[in-house]
Amino acid sequence: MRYTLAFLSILLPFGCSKNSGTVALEKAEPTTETVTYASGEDKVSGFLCHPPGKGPFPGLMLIHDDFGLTDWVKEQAKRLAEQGYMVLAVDLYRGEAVSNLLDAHIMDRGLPEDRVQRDLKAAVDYLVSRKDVRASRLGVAGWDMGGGYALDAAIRDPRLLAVVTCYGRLTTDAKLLAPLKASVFCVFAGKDKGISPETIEQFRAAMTKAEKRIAGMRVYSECAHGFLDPATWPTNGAPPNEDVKDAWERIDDYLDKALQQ
Amino acid sequence: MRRFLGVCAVLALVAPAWAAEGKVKTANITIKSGDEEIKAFLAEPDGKGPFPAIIVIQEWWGLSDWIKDNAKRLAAQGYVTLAPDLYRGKVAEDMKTASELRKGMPHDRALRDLKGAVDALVAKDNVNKERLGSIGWCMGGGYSLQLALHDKRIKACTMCYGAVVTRADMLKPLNATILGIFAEEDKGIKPEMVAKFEEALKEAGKKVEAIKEFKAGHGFMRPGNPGGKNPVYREAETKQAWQDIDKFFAKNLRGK
Repeated sequence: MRYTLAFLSILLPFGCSKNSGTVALEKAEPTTETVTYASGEDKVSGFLCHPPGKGPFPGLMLIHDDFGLTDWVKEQAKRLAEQGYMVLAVDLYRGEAVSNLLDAHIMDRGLPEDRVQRDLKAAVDYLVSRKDVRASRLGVAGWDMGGGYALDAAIRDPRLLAVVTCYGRLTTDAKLLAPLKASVFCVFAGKDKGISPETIEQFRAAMTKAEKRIAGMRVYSECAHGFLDPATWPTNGAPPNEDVKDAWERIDDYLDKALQQ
Repeated sequence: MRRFLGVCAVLALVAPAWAAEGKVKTANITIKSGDEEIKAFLAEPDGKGPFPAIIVIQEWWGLSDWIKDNAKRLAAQGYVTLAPDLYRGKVAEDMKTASELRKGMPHDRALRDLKGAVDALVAKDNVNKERLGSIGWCMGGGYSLQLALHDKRIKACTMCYGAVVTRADMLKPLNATILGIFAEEDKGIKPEMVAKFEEALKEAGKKVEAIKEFKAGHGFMRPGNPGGKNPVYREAETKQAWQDIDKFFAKNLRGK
Protein backbone atom coordinates (compact mmCIF):
# COMPACT_ATOMS: atom_id res chain seq x y z
CA MET A 1 0.00 0.00 0.00
CA ARG A 2 2.79 2.35 0.94
CA TYR A 3 4.28 1.55 -2.39
CA THR A 4 1.09 2.41 -4.23
CA LEU A 5 0.89 5.71 -2.39
CA ALA A 6 4.45 6.49 -3.33
CA PHE A 7 3.48 5.74 -6.86
CA LEU A 8 0.49 7.99 -6.81
CA SER A 9 2.46 10.86 -5.43
CA ILE A 10 4.82 10.58 -8.33
CA LEU A 11 1.97 10.48 -10.78
CA LEU A 12 -0.17 13.24 -9.28
CA PRO A 13 1.38 16.14 -11.15
CA PHE A 14 1.01 14.17 -14.28
CA GLY A 15 -2.41 15.45 -15.27
CA CYS A 16 -1.06 18.84 -16.24
CA SER A 17 1.93 17.57 -18.17
CA LYS A 18 0.15 17.99 -21.49
CA ASN A 19 -0.05 21.73 -20.94
CA SER A 20 3.49 22.17 -19.83
CA GLY A 21 4.94 23.39 -23.06
CA THR A 22 7.35 25.63 -21.20
CA VAL A 23 10.31 24.54 -19.15
CA ALA A 24 9.17 22.75 -16.04
CA LEU A 25 10.51 24.18 -12.84
CA GLU A 26 10.42 20.89 -10.98
CA LYS A 27 11.38 17.48 -12.23
CA ALA A 28 10.26 17.03 -15.83
CA GLU A 29 7.48 14.52 -16.33
CA PRO A 30 6.94 12.22 -19.27
CA THR A 31 4.34 13.30 -21.78
CA THR A 32 1.67 10.91 -22.91
CA GLU A 33 -0.40 10.57 -26.02
CA THR A 34 -2.48 8.06 -27.90
CA VAL A 35 -0.72 7.18 -31.11
CA THR A 36 -2.10 5.29 -34.09
CA TYR A 37 -0.20 3.16 -36.53
CA ALA A 38 -0.88 0.53 -39.16
CA SER A 39 -1.08 -3.15 -38.28
CA GLY A 40 -1.43 -4.86 -41.63
CA GLU A 41 -4.52 -3.31 -43.16
CA ASP A 42 -5.89 -2.21 -39.81
CA LYS A 43 -5.25 0.94 -37.86
CA VAL A 44 -4.51 0.35 -34.20
CA SER A 45 -3.68 2.65 -31.35
CA GLY A 46 -1.40 2.52 -28.36
CA PHE A 47 -0.57 4.60 -25.30
CA LEU A 48 2.78 6.30 -25.73
CA CYS A 49 4.85 7.74 -22.90
CA HIS A 50 7.66 10.03 -23.91
CA PRO A 51 10.43 10.72 -21.41
CA PRO A 52 11.51 14.33 -20.98
CA GLY A 53 14.37 15.29 -23.28
CA LYS A 54 15.29 14.64 -26.86
CA GLY A 55 16.58 11.13 -26.69
CA PRO A 56 17.24 8.91 -28.45
CA PHE A 57 15.77 6.63 -25.79
CA PRO A 58 15.65 2.88 -25.56
CA GLY A 59 12.18 1.65 -26.53
CA LEU A 60 9.91 -0.50 -24.45
CA MET A 61 6.68 -2.19 -25.50
CA LEU A 62 4.21 -3.05 -22.74
CA ILE A 63 1.54 -5.73 -23.12
CA HIS A 64 -1.50 -5.69 -20.87
CA ASP A 65 -3.16 -8.56 -19.04
CA ASP A 66 -6.55 -10.03 -19.95
CA PHE A 67 -8.33 -6.97 -18.53
CA GLY A 68 -6.93 -4.89 -21.37
CA LEU A 69 -5.09 -1.57 -21.45
CA THR A 70 -6.11 -0.45 -17.97
CA ASP A 71 -5.10 2.65 -16.03
CA TRP A 72 -2.72 0.47 -14.07
CA VAL A 73 -0.87 -0.50 -17.25
CA LYS A 74 -0.74 3.16 -18.22
CA GLU A 75 0.73 3.96 -14.79
CA GLN A 76 3.47 1.43 -15.41
CA ALA A 77 4.13 3.00 -18.79
CA LYS A 78 4.56 6.41 -17.15
CA ARG A 79 6.75 5.03 -14.40
CA LEU A 80 9.05 3.35 -16.90
CA ALA A 81 9.14 6.47 -19.09
CA GLU A 82 10.38 8.34 -16.05
CA GLN A 83 13.32 5.98 -16.09
CA GLY A 84 14.18 7.03 -19.61
CA TYR A 85 12.36 4.62 -21.89
CA MET A 86 10.10 5.51 -24.76
CA VAL A 87 7.20 3.32 -23.73
CA LEU A 88 4.42 2.12 -25.97
CA ALA A 89 1.61 0.23 -24.25
CA VAL A 90 -0.32 -1.69 -26.89
CA ASP A 91 -4.06 -2.29 -26.91
CA LEU A 92 -4.63 -5.80 -28.21
CA TYR A 93 -8.37 -5.48 -27.51
CA ARG A 94 -8.56 -2.46 -29.79
CA GLY A 95 -10.57 -0.22 -27.55
CA GLU A 96 -12.83 -2.88 -26.06
CA ALA A 97 -13.17 -2.52 -22.30
CA VAL A 98 -13.41 -5.41 -19.90
CA SER A 99 -15.39 -5.27 -16.68
CA ASN A 100 -15.12 -8.69 -15.06
CA LEU A 101 -13.32 -12.02 -15.06
CA LEU A 102 -15.72 -13.66 -17.53
CA ASP A 103 -15.43 -10.73 -19.92
CA ALA A 104 -11.66 -10.86 -19.62
CA HIS A 105 -11.76 -14.53 -20.52
CA ILE A 106 -14.13 -13.97 -23.42
CA MET A 107 -11.85 -11.29 -24.85
CA ASP A 108 -8.56 -13.09 -24.24
CA ARG A 109 -9.78 -16.45 -25.57
CA GLY A 110 -11.21 -14.74 -28.66
CA LEU A 111 -8.01 -13.00 -29.75
CA PRO A 112 -6.79 -14.37 -33.06
CA GLU A 113 -3.14 -15.16 -32.51
CA ASP A 114 -2.15 -13.97 -35.97
CA ARG A 115 -3.74 -10.58 -35.26
CA VAL A 116 -1.85 -10.34 -31.97
CA GLN A 117 1.42 -11.13 -33.71
CA ARG A 118 0.70 -8.51 -36.35
CA ASP A 119 -0.22 -5.87 -33.76
CA LEU A 120 2.93 -6.51 -31.73
CA LYS A 121 5.19 -6.37 -34.74
CA ALA A 122 3.46 -3.14 -35.78
CA ALA A 123 4.13 -1.66 -32.34
CA VAL A 124 7.83 -2.47 -32.63
CA ASP A 125 7.83 -1.02 -36.16
CA TYR A 126 6.29 2.13 -34.74
CA LEU A 127 8.96 2.49 -32.05
CA VAL A 128 11.72 1.86 -34.58
CA SER A 129 10.26 4.47 -36.92
CA ARG A 130 10.73 7.20 -34.32
CA LYS A 131 13.95 9.18 -34.52
CA ASP A 132 14.00 9.58 -30.76
CA VAL A 133 14.09 5.81 -30.21
CA ARG A 134 17.27 3.78 -30.24
CA ALA A 135 16.33 0.94 -32.58
CA SER A 136 19.18 -1.16 -31.23
CA ARG A 137 17.80 -0.98 -27.68
CA LEU A 138 14.33 -2.44 -27.63
CA GLY A 139 12.55 -4.50 -25.02
CA VAL A 140 9.13 -5.81 -24.10
CA ALA A 141 7.37 -6.38 -20.79
CA GLY A 142 4.01 -7.96 -20.09
CA TRP A 143 1.82 -9.32 -17.35
CA ASP A 144 -0.40 -12.37 -17.33
CA MET A 145 -1.70 -12.82 -20.88
CA GLY A 146 0.70 -10.05 -21.91
CA GLY A 147 3.64 -11.87 -20.33
CA GLY A 148 3.04 -14.84 -22.58
CA TYR A 149 2.74 -12.57 -25.59
CA ALA A 150 5.92 -10.72 -24.56
CA LEU A 151 7.90 -13.94 -24.82
CA ASP A 152 6.13 -14.90 -28.05
CA ALA A 153 6.85 -11.45 -29.53
CA ALA A 154 10.55 -11.72 -28.77
CA ILE A 155 10.68 -15.21 -30.30
CA ARG A 156 9.22 -13.79 -33.51
CA ASP A 157 10.96 -10.42 -33.54
CA PRO A 158 14.77 -10.39 -33.28
CA ARG A 159 14.75 -6.62 -32.72
CA LEU A 160 13.65 -7.24 -29.14
CA LEU A 161 16.63 -7.68 -26.84
CA ALA A 162 14.98 -7.85 -23.44
CA VAL A 163 11.85 -9.60 -22.19
CA VAL A 164 10.14 -9.18 -18.83
CA THR A 165 7.39 -11.72 -18.36
CA CYS A 166 5.31 -11.64 -15.22
CA TYR A 167 3.31 -14.81 -14.64
CA GLY A 168 2.88 -15.26 -18.38
CA ARG A 169 2.40 -18.42 -20.40
CA LEU A 170 5.70 -20.16 -21.12
CA THR A 171 7.17 -22.06 -24.02
CA THR A 172 8.51 -25.50 -23.17
CA ASP A 173 9.95 -26.64 -26.49
CA ALA A 174 13.62 -25.74 -27.05
CA LYS A 175 13.15 -25.80 -30.83
CA LEU A 176 10.53 -23.07 -30.63
CA LEU A 177 12.84 -20.91 -28.54
CA ALA A 178 15.66 -21.12 -31.12
CA PRO A 179 14.93 -17.76 -32.84
CA LEU A 180 14.95 -15.84 -29.52
CA LYS A 181 17.60 -13.12 -29.41
CA ALA A 182 16.50 -11.51 -26.15
CA SER A 183 17.42 -12.41 -22.62
CA VAL A 184 14.44 -13.09 -20.38
CA PHE A 185 13.56 -11.96 -16.88
CA CYS A 186 10.70 -13.84 -15.23
CA VAL A 187 8.48 -13.09 -12.28
CA PHE A 188 6.24 -15.90 -11.07
CA ALA A 189 3.70 -16.20 -8.29
CA GLY A 190 4.02 -19.23 -6.05
CA LYS A 191 0.26 -19.44 -5.62
CA ASP A 192 -0.43 -19.33 -9.35
CA LYS A 193 -2.71 -22.26 -10.17
CA GLY A 194 -1.90 -22.17 -13.85
CA ILE A 195 1.90 -22.02 -13.98
CA SER A 196 3.19 -24.97 -12.01
CA PRO A 197 6.76 -25.46 -10.77
CA GLU A 198 7.03 -28.31 -13.33
CA THR A 199 6.18 -25.93 -16.15
CA ILE A 200 8.73 -23.41 -14.91
CA GLU A 201 11.35 -26.17 -14.82
CA GLN A 202 10.42 -27.26 -18.34
CA PHE A 203 10.87 -23.69 -19.52
CA ARG A 204 14.22 -23.41 -17.78
CA ALA A 205 15.40 -26.69 -19.32
CA ALA A 206 14.21 -25.64 -22.78
CA MET A 207 16.01 -22.27 -22.47
CA THR A 208 19.22 -24.04 -21.43
CA LYS A 209 18.92 -26.54 -24.26
CA ALA A 210 18.31 -23.75 -26.76
CA GLU A 211 21.31 -21.88 -25.27
CA LYS A 212 19.21 -18.86 -24.37
CA ARG A 213 19.72 -16.55 -21.44
CA ILE A 214 17.45 -16.30 -18.43
CA ALA A 215 18.71 -13.07 -16.91
CA GLY A 216 16.74 -13.67 -13.74
CA MET A 217 13.83 -15.63 -12.40
CA ARG A 218 11.95 -15.04 -9.16
CA VAL A 219 9.13 -17.13 -7.79
CA TYR A 220 7.37 -15.18 -5.02
CA SER A 221 5.97 -17.99 -2.96
CA GLU A 222 3.55 -15.88 -0.89
CA CYS A 223 2.03 -14.20 -3.94
CA ALA A 224 -0.92 -15.06 -6.15
CA HIS A 225 -1.28 -14.71 -9.90
CA GLY A 226 -1.43 -11.07 -10.93
CA PHE A 227 0.02 -9.81 -7.65
CA LEU A 228 1.79 -6.74 -9.06
CA ASP A 229 -1.57 -5.19 -9.94
CA PRO A 230 -3.51 -4.01 -6.86
CA ALA A 231 -6.76 -4.69 -8.75
CA THR A 232 -6.18 -8.40 -8.12
CA TRP A 233 -5.70 -7.99 -4.37
CA PRO A 234 -9.34 -7.99 -3.24
CA THR A 235 -9.93 -11.43 -4.77
CA ASN A 236 -6.45 -12.96 -4.50
CA GLY A 237 -5.25 -11.40 -1.26
CA ALA A 238 -2.66 -8.66 -1.01
CA PRO A 239 0.95 -9.78 -1.49
CA PRO A 240 3.66 -8.90 1.02
CA ASN A 241 4.81 -5.33 0.35
CA GLU A 242 8.43 -6.35 0.17
CA ASP A 243 7.71 -8.84 -2.62
CA VAL A 244 6.08 -6.20 -4.81
CA LYS A 245 8.95 -3.85 -4.11
CA ASP A 246 11.55 -6.51 -4.75
CA ALA A 247 9.95 -7.57 -8.05
CA TRP A 248 9.88 -4.00 -9.37
CA GLU A 249 13.43 -3.31 -8.29
CA ARG A 250 14.63 -6.39 -10.10
CA ILE A 251 12.59 -5.59 -13.21
CA ASP A 252 13.94 -2.05 -13.29
CA ASP A 253 17.46 -3.25 -12.72
CA TYR A 254 17.22 -5.88 -15.45
CA LEU A 255 15.83 -3.42 -18.00
CA ASP A 256 18.46 -0.87 -17.06
CA LYS A 257 21.30 -3.32 -17.65
CA ALA A 258 19.76 -4.75 -20.81
CA LEU A 259 18.69 -1.54 -22.49
CA GLN A 260 20.27 1.53 -20.94
CA GLN A 261 23.89 0.55 -20.68
CA MET B 1 -20.43 -46.85 -13.46
CA ARG B 2 -23.62 -46.16 -11.57
CA ARG B 3 -22.95 -42.50 -12.17
CA PHE B 4 -22.45 -43.07 -15.86
CA LEU B 5 -25.73 -44.98 -16.08
CA GLY B 6 -27.34 -42.14 -14.24
CA VAL B 7 -26.03 -39.70 -16.81
CA CYS B 8 -27.30 -41.96 -19.57
CA ALA B 9 -30.70 -42.17 -17.96
CA VAL B 10 -30.93 -38.40 -17.76
CA LEU B 11 -29.64 -37.95 -21.26
CA ALA B 12 -32.01 -40.58 -22.58
CA LEU B 13 -34.83 -38.28 -21.56
CA VAL B 14 -33.44 -35.12 -23.09
CA ALA B 15 -31.47 -36.50 -26.02
CA PRO B 16 -32.84 -39.88 -26.96
CA ALA B 17 -31.51 -39.61 -30.50
CA TRP B 18 -27.93 -40.49 -29.65
CA ALA B 19 -28.41 -42.35 -26.40
CA ALA B 20 -30.45 -44.94 -28.22
CA GLU B 21 -27.89 -45.42 -30.97
CA GLY B 22 -25.32 -47.59 -29.32
CA LYS B 23 -23.59 -48.74 -26.21
CA VAL B 24 -20.45 -46.94 -25.17
CA LYS B 25 -17.40 -48.19 -23.25
CA THR B 26 -15.36 -45.62 -21.41
CA ALA B 27 -11.90 -45.69 -19.82
CA ASN B 28 -9.38 -43.32 -18.33
CA ILE B 29 -6.18 -44.06 -20.18
CA THR B 30 -2.60 -42.82 -20.23
CA ILE B 31 -1.13 -41.54 -23.47
CA LYS B 32 2.28 -40.27 -24.54
CA SER B 33 2.87 -36.58 -25.14
CA GLY B 34 6.47 -36.04 -26.19
CA ASP B 35 8.54 -37.41 -23.30
CA GLU B 36 5.64 -37.16 -20.87
CA GLU B 37 2.63 -39.24 -20.06
CA ILE B 38 -0.76 -37.62 -19.67
CA LYS B 39 -4.26 -38.83 -18.90
CA ALA B 40 -7.07 -38.94 -21.40
CA PHE B 41 -10.72 -39.96 -21.39
CA LEU B 42 -11.58 -42.61 -23.98
CA ALA B 43 -15.09 -43.45 -25.15
CA GLU B 44 -15.62 -46.24 -27.66
CA PRO B 45 -18.62 -47.65 -29.46
CA ASP B 46 -19.52 -51.26 -28.96
CA GLY B 47 -18.16 -53.54 -31.66
CA LYS B 48 -14.92 -54.16 -33.46
CA GLY B 49 -14.72 -51.23 -35.80
CA PRO B 50 -12.70 -49.89 -37.36
CA PHE B 51 -14.49 -46.69 -36.43
CA PRO B 52 -13.78 -43.11 -37.37
CA ALA B 53 -12.34 -41.19 -34.42
CA ILE B 54 -12.64 -37.73 -32.91
CA ILE B 55 -10.40 -35.75 -30.55
CA VAL B 56 -12.61 -33.91 -28.05
CA ILE B 57 -11.07 -30.76 -26.58
CA GLN B 58 -11.94 -29.18 -23.24
CA GLU B 59 -13.08 -25.68 -22.35
CA TRP B 60 -11.23 -23.44 -19.89
CA TRP B 61 -12.83 -25.43 -17.06
CA GLY B 62 -10.75 -28.50 -17.86
CA LEU B 63 -11.66 -32.10 -18.69
CA SER B 64 -15.06 -31.74 -17.04
CA ASP B 65 -18.01 -34.12 -16.92
CA TRP B 66 -19.66 -32.14 -19.69
CA ILE B 67 -16.70 -32.70 -22.01
CA LYS B 68 -16.77 -36.41 -21.11
CA ASP B 69 -20.52 -36.48 -21.83
CA ASN B 70 -19.84 -34.98 -25.24
CA ALA B 71 -17.19 -37.63 -25.90
CA LYS B 72 -19.70 -40.34 -24.93
CA ARG B 73 -22.40 -38.74 -27.01
CA LEU B 74 -20.24 -38.92 -30.14
CA ALA B 75 -19.05 -42.44 -29.28
CA ALA B 76 -22.68 -43.58 -29.21
CA GLN B 77 -22.90 -42.49 -32.84
CA GLY B 78 -20.04 -44.74 -33.87
CA TYR B 79 -16.84 -42.74 -33.23
CA VAL B 80 -13.95 -43.61 -30.99
CA THR B 81 -13.43 -40.42 -29.04
CA LEU B 82 -10.49 -39.32 -26.95
CA ALA B 83 -10.39 -36.24 -24.72
CA PRO B 84 -6.84 -35.49 -23.49
CA ASP B 85 -6.48 -33.83 -20.10
CA LEU B 86 -4.67 -30.63 -21.09
CA TYR B 87 -4.61 -29.36 -17.50
CA ARG B 88 -2.93 -32.52 -16.22
CA GLY B 89 -5.35 -33.54 -13.50
CA LYS B 90 -6.85 -30.18 -12.65
CA VAL B 91 -10.49 -29.27 -13.19
CA ALA B 92 -11.67 -25.78 -12.23
CA GLU B 93 -14.68 -25.25 -10.02
CA ASP B 94 -14.58 -21.48 -10.26
CA MET B 95 -13.77 -18.90 -12.93
CA LYS B 96 -10.65 -17.58 -11.24
CA THR B 97 -9.06 -21.03 -11.24
CA ALA B 98 -10.24 -21.70 -14.80
CA SER B 99 -8.72 -18.41 -15.87
CA GLU B 100 -5.34 -19.15 -14.27
CA LEU B 101 -5.26 -22.69 -15.62
CA ARG B 102 -6.01 -21.60 -19.15
CA LYS B 103 -3.61 -18.69 -19.16
CA GLY B 104 -0.79 -20.69 -17.61
CA MET B 105 -0.98 -23.60 -20.02
CA PRO B 106 1.94 -23.54 -22.47
CA HIS B 107 0.57 -23.37 -25.98
CA ASP B 108 3.23 -25.71 -27.33
CA ARG B 109 2.53 -28.26 -24.60
CA ALA B 110 -1.19 -28.26 -25.41
CA LEU B 111 -0.44 -28.89 -29.08
CA ARG B 112 1.96 -31.67 -28.13
CA ASP B 113 -0.74 -33.23 -25.94
CA LEU B 114 -3.27 -33.02 -28.75
CA LYS B 115 -0.91 -34.58 -31.28
CA GLY B 116 -0.16 -37.26 -28.71
CA ALA B 117 -3.88 -37.92 -28.53
CA VAL B 118 -4.05 -38.29 -32.32
CA ASP B 119 -1.09 -40.71 -32.17
CA ALA B 120 -2.91 -42.72 -29.51
CA LEU B 121 -6.06 -42.95 -31.65
CA VAL B 122 -4.15 -43.93 -34.76
CA ALA B 123 -2.42 -46.72 -32.85
CA LYS B 124 -5.73 -48.33 -31.92
CA ASP B 125 -6.95 -51.40 -33.82
CA ASN B 126 -10.55 -50.24 -33.75
CA VAL B 127 -9.78 -46.85 -35.33
CA ASN B 128 -9.87 -46.07 -39.02
CA LYS B 129 -6.89 -43.75 -39.17
CA GLU B 130 -7.98 -42.17 -42.44
CA ARG B 131 -11.07 -40.79 -40.76
CA LEU B 132 -10.08 -38.50 -37.94
CA GLY B 133 -11.81 -35.43 -36.66
CA SER B 134 -11.58 -32.87 -33.87
CA ILE B 135 -14.06 -30.85 -31.86
CA GLY B 136 -13.70 -28.34 -29.05
CA TRP B 137 -15.52 -25.58 -27.24
CA CYS B 138 -14.28 -22.22 -25.96
CA MET B 139 -10.50 -22.61 -25.43
CA GLY B 140 -10.86 -26.04 -27.04
CA GLY B 141 -12.58 -24.53 -30.08
CA GLY B 142 -9.44 -22.55 -30.79
CA TYR B 143 -7.29 -25.62 -30.19
CA SER B 144 -9.48 -27.72 -32.49
CA LEU B 145 -8.49 -25.38 -35.32
CA GLN B 146 -4.86 -25.24 -34.14
CA LEU B 147 -4.67 -29.04 -34.06
CA ALA B 148 -6.07 -29.24 -37.59
CA LEU B 149 -3.45 -26.69 -38.67
CA HIS B 150 -0.62 -28.65 -37.07
CA ASP B 151 -1.75 -32.19 -37.87
CA LYS B 152 -2.74 -33.15 -41.39
CA ARG B 153 -4.32 -36.37 -40.16
CA ILE B 154 -7.34 -34.35 -39.02
CA LYS B 155 -9.91 -34.40 -41.83
CA ALA B 156 -12.93 -32.82 -40.14
CA CYS B 157 -12.65 -29.98 -37.63
CA THR B 158 -15.51 -28.55 -35.60
CA MET B 159 -14.73 -25.42 -33.62
CA CYS B 160 -17.29 -24.01 -31.24
CA TYR B 161 -16.71 -20.38 -30.31
CA GLY B 162 -12.93 -20.71 -30.36
CA ALA B 163 -10.23 -18.30 -31.52
CA VAL B 164 -10.04 -17.96 -35.28
CA VAL B 165 -7.19 -17.31 -37.69
CA THR B 166 -7.67 -14.30 -39.91
CA ARG B 167 -4.83 -14.67 -42.42
CA ALA B 168 -5.13 -16.90 -45.46
CA ASP B 169 -1.41 -17.78 -45.56
CA MET B 170 -1.56 -19.09 -42.01
CA LEU B 171 -4.43 -21.40 -42.95
CA LYS B 172 -2.39 -23.05 -45.70
CA PRO B 173 -1.44 -26.20 -43.74
CA LEU B 174 -5.09 -27.02 -43.04
CA ASN B 175 -6.14 -30.41 -44.40
CA ALA B 176 -9.54 -30.60 -42.70
CA THR B 177 -13.01 -29.48 -43.67
CA ILE B 178 -14.23 -26.85 -41.20
CA LEU B 179 -17.48 -26.50 -39.34
CA GLY B 180 -17.55 -23.28 -37.32
CA ILE B 181 -20.13 -22.76 -34.59
CA PHE B 182 -20.04 -19.17 -33.37
CA ALA B 183 -22.16 -16.95 -31.17
CA GLU B 184 -23.34 -13.57 -32.43
CA GLU B 185 -23.17 -12.01 -28.98
CA ASP B 186 -19.64 -13.22 -28.31
CA LYS B 187 -17.79 -10.03 -27.46
CA GLY B 188 -14.41 -11.66 -27.99
CA ILE B 189 -15.18 -13.17 -31.40
CA LYS B 190 -17.39 -10.65 -33.09
CA PRO B 191 -19.22 -11.27 -36.36
CA GLU B 192 -16.57 -9.16 -38.18
CA MET B 193 -13.88 -11.49 -36.94
CA VAL B 194 -15.86 -14.55 -37.99
CA ALA B 195 -16.33 -12.94 -41.42
CA LYS B 196 -12.57 -12.43 -41.69
CA PHE B 197 -12.00 -16.07 -40.83
CA GLU B 198 -14.48 -17.16 -43.48
CA GLU B 199 -12.85 -14.89 -46.04
CA ALA B 200 -9.38 -16.19 -45.19
CA LEU B 201 -10.55 -19.81 -45.51
CA LYS B 202 -11.99 -19.01 -48.91
CA GLU B 203 -8.87 -17.19 -50.02
CA ALA B 204 -6.74 -20.13 -48.90
CA GLY B 205 -9.00 -22.48 -50.87
CA LYS B 206 -10.00 -24.53 -47.85
CA LYS B 207 -13.04 -26.75 -47.52
CA VAL B 208 -15.77 -25.29 -45.35
CA GLU B 209 -18.91 -27.16 -44.41
CA ALA B 210 -20.50 -24.12 -42.81
CA ILE B 211 -19.68 -21.18 -40.62
CA LYS B 212 -22.74 -20.77 -38.44
CA GLU B 213 -23.55 -17.92 -36.12
CA PHE B 214 -26.19 -18.52 -33.49
CA LYS B 215 -28.18 -15.86 -31.69
CA ALA B 216 -26.48 -16.52 -28.40
CA GLY B 217 -23.48 -15.62 -26.26
CA HIS B 218 -20.13 -17.28 -25.68
CA GLY B 219 -20.49 -20.74 -24.13
CA PHE B 220 -24.14 -21.23 -25.10
CA MET B 221 -23.91 -25.01 -25.61
CA ARG B 222 -23.03 -25.93 -22.02
CA PRO B 223 -26.11 -26.37 -19.82
CA GLY B 224 -24.32 -26.01 -16.50
CA ASN B 225 -21.48 -24.17 -14.85
CA PRO B 226 -19.72 -25.72 -11.86
CA GLY B 227 -22.19 -25.51 -9.01
CA GLY B 228 -25.14 -24.24 -11.01
CA LYS B 229 -26.77 -23.40 -14.28
CA ASN B 230 -25.02 -21.63 -17.10
CA PRO B 231 -26.99 -18.40 -17.58
CA VAL B 232 -26.08 -18.16 -21.26
CA TYR B 233 -27.12 -21.72 -22.11
CA ARG B 234 -29.53 -21.73 -25.07
CA GLU B 235 -31.44 -24.95 -25.44
CA ALA B 236 -32.92 -24.52 -28.92
CA GLU B 237 -29.69 -23.17 -30.41
CA THR B 238 -27.74 -25.97 -28.78
CA LYS B 239 -30.04 -28.58 -30.26
CA GLN B 240 -29.55 -27.06 -33.69
CA ALA B 241 -25.77 -26.86 -33.22
CA TRP B 242 -25.61 -30.53 -32.27
CA GLN B 243 -27.63 -31.46 -35.35
CA ASP B 244 -25.15 -29.54 -37.48
CA ILE B 245 -22.22 -31.20 -35.75
CA ASP B 246 -23.69 -34.70 -36.03
CA LYS B 247 -24.45 -34.22 -39.70
CA PHE B 248 -21.00 -32.78 -40.36
CA PHE B 249 -19.09 -35.65 -38.79
CA ALA B 250 -21.42 -38.25 -40.36
CA LYS B 251 -20.81 -36.77 -43.79
CA ASN B 252 -17.08 -36.14 -43.46
CA LEU B 253 -15.98 -39.10 -41.36
CA ARG B 254 -18.54 -41.79 -42.11
CA GLY B 255 -19.46 -40.89 -45.68
CA LYS B 256 -23.13 -40.54 -44.80
